[in-house]
Amino acid sequence: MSVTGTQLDWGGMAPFLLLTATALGTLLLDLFLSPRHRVRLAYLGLTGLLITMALLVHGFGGQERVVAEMLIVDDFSRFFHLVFLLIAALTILVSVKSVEQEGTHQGEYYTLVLFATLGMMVMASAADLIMVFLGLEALSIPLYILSGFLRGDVRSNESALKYLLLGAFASAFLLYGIAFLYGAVGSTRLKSIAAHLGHGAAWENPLVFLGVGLLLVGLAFKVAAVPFHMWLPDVYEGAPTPVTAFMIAGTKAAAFSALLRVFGTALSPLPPEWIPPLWVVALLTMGVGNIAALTQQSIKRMLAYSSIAHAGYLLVAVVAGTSRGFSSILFYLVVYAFMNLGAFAVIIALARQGEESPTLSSYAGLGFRHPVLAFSMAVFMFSLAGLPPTGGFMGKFYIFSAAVEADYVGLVIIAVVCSLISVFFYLRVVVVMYMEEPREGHSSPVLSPAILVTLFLATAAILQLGLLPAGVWDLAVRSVQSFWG
Amino acid sequence: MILLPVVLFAPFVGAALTPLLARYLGRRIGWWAAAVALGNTLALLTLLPSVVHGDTLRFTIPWVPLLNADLTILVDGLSLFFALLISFAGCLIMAYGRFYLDPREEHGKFFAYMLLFMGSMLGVVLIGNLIALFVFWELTSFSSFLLIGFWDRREASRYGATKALLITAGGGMAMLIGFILLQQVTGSWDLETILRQGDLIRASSLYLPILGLVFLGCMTKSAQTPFHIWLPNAMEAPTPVSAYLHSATMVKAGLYLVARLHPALSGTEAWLYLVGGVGILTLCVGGFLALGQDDLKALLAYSTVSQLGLIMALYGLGTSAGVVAGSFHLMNHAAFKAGLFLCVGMVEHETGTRRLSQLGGLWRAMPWTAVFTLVSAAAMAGLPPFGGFVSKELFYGATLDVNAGGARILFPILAVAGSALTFAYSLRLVYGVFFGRPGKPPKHPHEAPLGMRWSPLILAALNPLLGLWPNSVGHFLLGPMAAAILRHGAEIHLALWHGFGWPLLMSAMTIAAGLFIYPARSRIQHWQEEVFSRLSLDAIYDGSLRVLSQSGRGVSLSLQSGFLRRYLLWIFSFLSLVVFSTFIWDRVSLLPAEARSVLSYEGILLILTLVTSIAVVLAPRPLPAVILLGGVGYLVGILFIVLYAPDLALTQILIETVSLILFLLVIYRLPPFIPEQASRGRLLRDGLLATAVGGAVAAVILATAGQGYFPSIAEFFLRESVPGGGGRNVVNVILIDFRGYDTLGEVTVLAIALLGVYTLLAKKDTR
Repeated sequence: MSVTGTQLDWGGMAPFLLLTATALGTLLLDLFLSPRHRVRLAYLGLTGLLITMALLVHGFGGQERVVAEMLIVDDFSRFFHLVFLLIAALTILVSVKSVEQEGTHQGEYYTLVLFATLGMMVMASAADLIMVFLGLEALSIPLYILSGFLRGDVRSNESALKYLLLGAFASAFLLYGIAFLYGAVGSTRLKSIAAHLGHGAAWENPLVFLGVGLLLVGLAFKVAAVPFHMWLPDVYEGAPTPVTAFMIAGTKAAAFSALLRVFGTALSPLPPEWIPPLWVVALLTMGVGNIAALTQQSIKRMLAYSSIAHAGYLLVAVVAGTSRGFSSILFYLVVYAFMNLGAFAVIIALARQGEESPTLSSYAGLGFRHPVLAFSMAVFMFSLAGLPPTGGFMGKFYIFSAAVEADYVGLVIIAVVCSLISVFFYLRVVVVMYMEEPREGHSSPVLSPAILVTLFLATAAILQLGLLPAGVWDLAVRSVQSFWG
Repeated sequence: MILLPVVLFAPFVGAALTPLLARYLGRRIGWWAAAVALGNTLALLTLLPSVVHGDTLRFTIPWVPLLNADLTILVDGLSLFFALLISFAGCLIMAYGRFYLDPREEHGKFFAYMLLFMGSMLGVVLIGNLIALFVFWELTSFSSFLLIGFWDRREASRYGATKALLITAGGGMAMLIGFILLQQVTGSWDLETILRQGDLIRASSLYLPILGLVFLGCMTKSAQTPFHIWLPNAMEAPTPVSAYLHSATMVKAGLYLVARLHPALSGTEAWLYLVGGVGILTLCVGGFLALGQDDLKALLAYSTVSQLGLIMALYGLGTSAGVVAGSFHLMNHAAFKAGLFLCVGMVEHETGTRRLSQLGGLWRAMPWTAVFTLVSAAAMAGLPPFGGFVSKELFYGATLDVNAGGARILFPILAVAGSALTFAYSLRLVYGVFFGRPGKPPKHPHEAPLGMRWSPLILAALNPLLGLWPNSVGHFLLGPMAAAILRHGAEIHLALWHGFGWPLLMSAMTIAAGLFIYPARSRIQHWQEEVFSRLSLDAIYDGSLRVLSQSGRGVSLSLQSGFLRRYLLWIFSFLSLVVFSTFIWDRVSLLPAEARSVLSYEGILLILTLVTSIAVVLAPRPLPAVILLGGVGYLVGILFIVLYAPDLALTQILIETVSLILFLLVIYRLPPFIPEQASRGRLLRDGLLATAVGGAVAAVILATAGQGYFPSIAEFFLRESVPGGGGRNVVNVILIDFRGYDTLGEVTVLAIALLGVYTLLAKKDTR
C-alpha cells in the first residue's frame, strides 16, 4: 500500500472543480453586490453550469478516467452529470423570480443549489461506497437548508426539520450497511466488492446479507420507495416551490445514478432471491404513489406522490436488471426531469405571493386565461401520465418492454394498471384548466423571460423525446454500455 | 410514394393551421376543414387502381433504429378502404358541421379538433408498425376526448368525455401489453412481418394472453359488451362528432384491428368464441337496449353498438365468408348510420329536441329528412333493395357455415334475434319521428337548410347503390379489402337476390319477429328504465371510480398522517420484519460458534444494566429518564473496561457525559413537560415495536459476531510509523502525516465553525 505520491487526474476532475469554483464564486460575489444586482449571481451560476456542460459534451465518448480510485468519469457519469447540470440550470432559471420575491439570502441560495449539484455528480461518479455516502451528504445537507429557506413560513420549517430527521435515518442506514459490507468484504471499492461477491458463496454470509439490505434501504430512502417514502410528500409540499422542483428532479436522478452504480458494479449479478423483495417494493411504490395521488387537492402534493409513483416505474426497470432496463432508466430520468421542472415552472409562474401550495381549483379556466401556460402544463401532464406522443410515453414504453423482455410480465401488467390510474389525476388538471370556469380574482400573470425559456425548453424536449427518441435513447444505451456489459 | 406521408400528415398540418386561418375565415373555416378532407379523399383515390391491381404500397421513415422500429406507411386493400372511409366521411360531416354549429360557437377549435382526430384515425389505419399504431390509437382517444367534451360547460359532456377516455385508453393499455407480447413472440414490431408468422403465434404459449389483451383494446374502442357503456354518454357530443366518431370511424378502429390481425390470430376456437361470441352477444344486447331508448341519439348509439357487434361476430367466425360479409356490412353501416346521425341532427336542429316522446308526424314539415331517414333505416333493418339487405343475407349464410359445437346452433338463432331487434328499433325510429301523432317539440319544425341536406343525401343515396350494384363495390373495394385481410384472394359473389334458401327464410323470420316485438316497445322501455337504472354496468363504472378515490384518501390518511413518530413506526416495523424474515428464511444460526461462560462480576454488571434500562422505560418524567439513560451508558462503559477495551470505554464514557450534560441543559431550558396519558393499546404497540427493534439488533449482532475479520490496519501503522513518517508516536504520525489532509480539513472546519459562533455571539451583543 503506497500512501504518498498518488497522481491526481486533474483532467478527470475538471467538471467537479469547475462547478466548485462556480459555487464559491457565487458565494464570494454575493458579498460585493448590492441587493438590486443580485440577479447577477444567477447569471454567474448559469454561466458556470453551461461551461461545465460544454466540457462534458466535449468529453462524451472519451475514455474512462479514474480519479484516485474514488471517482470514475465515464460516459455513464457524463450522461448523469449533464442531466444534473441541466436540472440545476433550469432550477436557477425558475428560481430567479421567487428568490427575488422572498428577497433574502440570494447568494446562499444559488451556492447551495450548486453544491447540491456537485453532490449529485459525485454520486453518479462514485467508484467507492464512501463516495456514494459523501455525495449523498453533499447533496442532502444543502437541501435540508434549502427546504427551510422560507424562514417565516411554518410549513417550510416543518419540511426542513422532517427532511433532516428522516434524512439522518437514511444516512445512518446507508452507513450501517456500508460498514457491514466492509466487514464482510474488506473493502468499500465497488469493484473489489464485486470481485468478492462474484462467487456466489459470499452471499451466504449474513454480514453481506445485512450490509446489502441496509445499503438498499438507505438508497430506497433517497429514491423514496415505499415504505421509505413518508418524508417525501411533507417535505416537497412545504419546501419553496423551486426547491421542490430541484429535489423532485435532481434527487431522484442522483439516487438512481448511485443505485445503478451499486447494482451495476458491486452487486452484479444479483442473486435471484433478492428479486422478490425488490419486486414487492416496486409494486408497493407504484401502487401507493398513484393511489395516494388520486385525492390530493394541492398540486404540489399531487406531484410529490406522482414522483413516488415514478420511482416505482423506474424500480421496475431495476428489477428487470438488464442493460436495456438500465438504459431505459437513463432515458426516463431525462424525460422525468423535463416534465417535472416544466410543471413546476407553471406552478411558479402562477404562484402568488405567500401562496406556497396552490390547490387544483386555482387552475380553473387557465386554458382561457393563459393559453401558453395551460398548453405546456397539458403537455407535461400527458407526459407524466405516459400518453403518446410525449416523452413520458416513450420512457414508459422502454421500461416496460425491457421488463417484458426480462420475463416480468406480471409486474408490467401491474405497472400498466397503475399508470392507468394515474391518467385519472393527471387528466384532472387538464380538465380543470380547460373545462372549468375561471374563478374571479385570478389575474393572468405576466411571464418572465426565464420562465418562458424554461417552458419552451421543457415542452420542446418532451415532444422531441416523444416523437424522435432515437438520439437520446442511443446516448443512454451507450452510457450504460460504458460501465456495464 | 411520397404521396403516402402527405396524406397522413396533411390533416395534422391542417389542424395546426386551423386556429390561425379561423381568424380570417371566421365561420367559413368549416369549408377549409372539409377541403382538407376532400383533398385527402382524392389523393387516396389515385392510389385505388394499383391497390385493385393487388399491389401493396409502402413508405418507410426510420424512427427508432435501436428498437428496429420504423414508421412504415402501409397501403393495401384494407387500409385504403378505411382511409377512404375516414377522409370521405370526414369531408361530408365537416361540410355538414359548418351549418350545424351555432354561429356563436368556436368554429376554429371545433374543426381543429376534427382534423386532429381525422389525422390520428388515418394514422391508425395506415401505419404498419405496432408501436406507432398504438400511438395513433391513443391519439384518437385523446382527440375524441376533446370532441366529446366540446361543449365543455356542460357537466354531462365532461362526464361523457372522461368516461370515454378512461375506458378506451384503459383498453389501449391492455392492447399495448398485448403488442409487447406479440413482439416477444415474433421479434418484430412490423405488422407485415408479424402477419406472416400466424402459425408461430398460434402455437406460442402466449397466444391466449395476446389474443385476450389485444381484443380487450378492440372491445373498448368498438364499444363491445360490456364496455359499451361509454358510447351512450359520449352522445353528449355535438351531432357531427357523433356521426363521425361514433358511427363512421373511431368505433370502427377496433374492427380494423381485428381485421388487420386476422391472419395472425384467427382460426382457433378461442378466436371464434371470444371474438365471435362477444360480437353476437353485443348484437343482441345493443339491439335490446336500443329498443328501449327515448332519446334518438341514445337509440342510434345502442344501435351502433349492436351493428358493430354484428361485424365483430362476422370477423370472429374466422371464415372467408365471414370476412367478406363483415367487410361489406362495414361499408353499409358507414353509409346508413352516418346518414341517420345526420338526419337526427337535422331533426334536433329544427325541432330543438331529440326525445321520441316529443316528436311525431314530422314528414309533412321535413319531407327531405323523412325520405333520407326512411332509406337509411330500411337499409339498417335489412330490407331490399338496399345494401343492408345484401349484407344481412351474407351474415345469415356465414353463421350457417359455422361448425363448432354449440356455436353451430346458437349463432344462427342469436343472429336472427339480433336482427329482429334491429328491425324493430328501425321501425320505431322512422315511425316515431315522422309518422303517427304530431308531437310537441319546443321549436316549430320546418325543413333543414339546403347546405345541411347535401351530406345526408349523398350518404342515403349510397344505400340503394350498394344494394343494386354490389359487384362493382365488390371489385373496387371489397375484393382488395378481403384479400388484404385474408392474405389471399377471396371469391366474391354479391347479389341482391340469392335465390330461395335458409338465408331468405331467416330474413322472413326476422321481419315477422321484428313486427312481433315492435308493439312491446313501450313495455320494454319501461322495464329497462325500472331495472337498469338500479343495476347496470354504469353503476359499476361509477362505483369503481368512487372506490378508487376513497381508497386514495384512505391510503394517504393512514400512511401520511404528518406525524414523524408514525413514519418512524412504519419504517422500523418494516426493518425488523425484514431482519427477522431474512434470518428465518436463511436459517441463520444465532448461536456464536465459540462461547465461554459468563463470569460472576460480568453477570452482575449485565443485570444492573438491564434493571437500569427497565427503570428508564418506567421513569415518570424526562429528567430522571435521561439520568437513568446516562447510567446505562456508564454501565456499558464499565463493561467495556472489564472486557479489555479501554479505548472504547473511554469514548463511551466521554460521549455519555457530554450528551448527558447537553440533555440536562436543554431540559432545564424547556417548558415543563407533562407526558400525555397514552392509551393501553398504544403502549402495547410501542412496547412491541421496541422489543422487535431491540430483538432485531441483538439478532444482527449475534449473527455477525464470530465472523472472520480482516487483518487490522494497526499492524501497518506500527510498521510504517518510523520509515514512512519518521516518528515514534504512532498517533501523532497518523494525525499529521499519514492523514495530514484529513487533519487540515478538520482544523479548517473547526476554524470556520468558530468564526460562525463568534459572529453569532458578537451579533447578540450588538442587539
